[in-house]
Amino acid sequence: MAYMTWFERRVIGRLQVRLGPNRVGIGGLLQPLADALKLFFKEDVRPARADRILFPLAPAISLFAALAAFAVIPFGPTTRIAGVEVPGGIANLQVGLLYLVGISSLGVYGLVLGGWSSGSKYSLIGGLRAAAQVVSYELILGLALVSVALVAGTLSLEGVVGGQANGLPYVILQPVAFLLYLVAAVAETNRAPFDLPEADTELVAGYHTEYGGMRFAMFFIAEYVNVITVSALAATMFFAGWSGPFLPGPHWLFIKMLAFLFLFVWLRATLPRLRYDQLMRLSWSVLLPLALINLLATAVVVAVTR
Amino acid sequence: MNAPTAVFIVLAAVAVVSSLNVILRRNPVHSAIFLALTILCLAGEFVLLNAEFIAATEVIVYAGAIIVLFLFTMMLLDIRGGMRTRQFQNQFGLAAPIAVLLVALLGAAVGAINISGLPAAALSTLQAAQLGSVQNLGQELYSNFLLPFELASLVLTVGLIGAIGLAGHGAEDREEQVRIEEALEFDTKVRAKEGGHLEPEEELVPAGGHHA
Repeated sequence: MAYMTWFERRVIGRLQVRLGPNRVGIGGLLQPLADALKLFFKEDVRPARADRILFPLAPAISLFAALAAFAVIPFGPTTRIAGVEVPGGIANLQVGLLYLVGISSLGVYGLVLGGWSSGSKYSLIGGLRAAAQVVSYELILGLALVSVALVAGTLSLEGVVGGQANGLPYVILQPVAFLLYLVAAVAETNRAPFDLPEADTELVAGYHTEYGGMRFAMFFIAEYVNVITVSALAATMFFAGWSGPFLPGPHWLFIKMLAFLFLFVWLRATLPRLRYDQLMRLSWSVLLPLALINLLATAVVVAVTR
Repeated sequence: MNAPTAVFIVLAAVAVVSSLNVILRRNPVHSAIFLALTILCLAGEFVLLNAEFIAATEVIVYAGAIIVLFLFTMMLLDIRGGMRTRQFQNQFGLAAPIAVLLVALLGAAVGAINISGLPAAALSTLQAAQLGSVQNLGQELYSNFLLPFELASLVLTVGLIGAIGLAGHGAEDREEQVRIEEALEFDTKVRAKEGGHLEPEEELVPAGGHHA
């Protein structure tokens, strides 16, 4: 996880024709550790107007939701190591997909409560934006995933990977759903060009303006874990997850995930931020009808061919 | 006591305590958080009953969307001002009979269920595990319970359209009215400041200039 920050800073450096952090360790590889140490030793500042219970709780909720969501991503097939069955993921639920959507929808509490409990106007506006944005784009994310689930005929992530391992990856069968998922995933993780809740040119730092030290680090880690989770889910749902020739499962998932992570960083370095009304119009008047039409068409095709 | 029973008791206890907190907390944001906690506990109970789909939907719909919208609305209101006002109105005369009626109705409904006579009691563990599956639920919902299901969605749609109709009606006029009032208020504040009557901590913000 920590190396995601190193990866991002180095790649953005390259994309902007500069070097990025390269002093701490070989090629800057120890930079994330140095940053973490610094954050640990920072003073724990709490604003006088902050809510006593909710202010420390908010980053914890964010981090919990981010980590819990990752638990259902399957890394590989069930293998036998020294006679013991090792499952290819932390948990394999019958409704893994719904679990993931449910847990990630809890993550917004961290942002909203963090924004509200700080007692600062920038935080409050950031929290409001986060609530509206995440609720809007979650619909699109869900509808895109439902279309894929219809094709796969299962809600278990293991099942979805199994369905693709013997046939086409779902990105070919569901190209519209893939594009919808990609846009919604960037918006869900509050990354540029959809980073309005923490737009630093308008809101200082949005919902985490008043946070410092490890509390800030928890928000920060949660964001990167979320990015990794949606990348892994994209690889799982649309690019056959861990299945692939020659290499063992986890390697394939990692390679596919890395491609998406690069895409995220690339987007951030390339695109300017949307305006708030553009963001809402894009969600409700363009993407949502598209997602519904796609879902309807998928349902008809599945019903006819089955 | 086996593990599921222990989990059930813990979840139920947390659910009861947090739902009490929903109505007893002074701060509405805290109430909303306790409501979310209650919903999560109920979702946990559904998991214990092998109804994973219902548990997931409960979390997505209630905790993930509805309570977030509650919070969204509350953040737009002046909560610190609202907490100072009186929290209890004189509605006990009306509320008490309704509450008694509701408890009696729910008690009668729960009492009417013959648990040992339910088909679930006769099922094997494997059959019970498949009882709450997505396929079974969908089949039941779209065959045996089609009419209530569609009626419920119709009622929700009617409510939604009604709310939009009530909120949208004359919104532009009211907005204009608010803008005029704010401008007048600002004007008086400026005059008061010129006259030296303004409280020192009172902030001077032009109408509509904040929270934009």
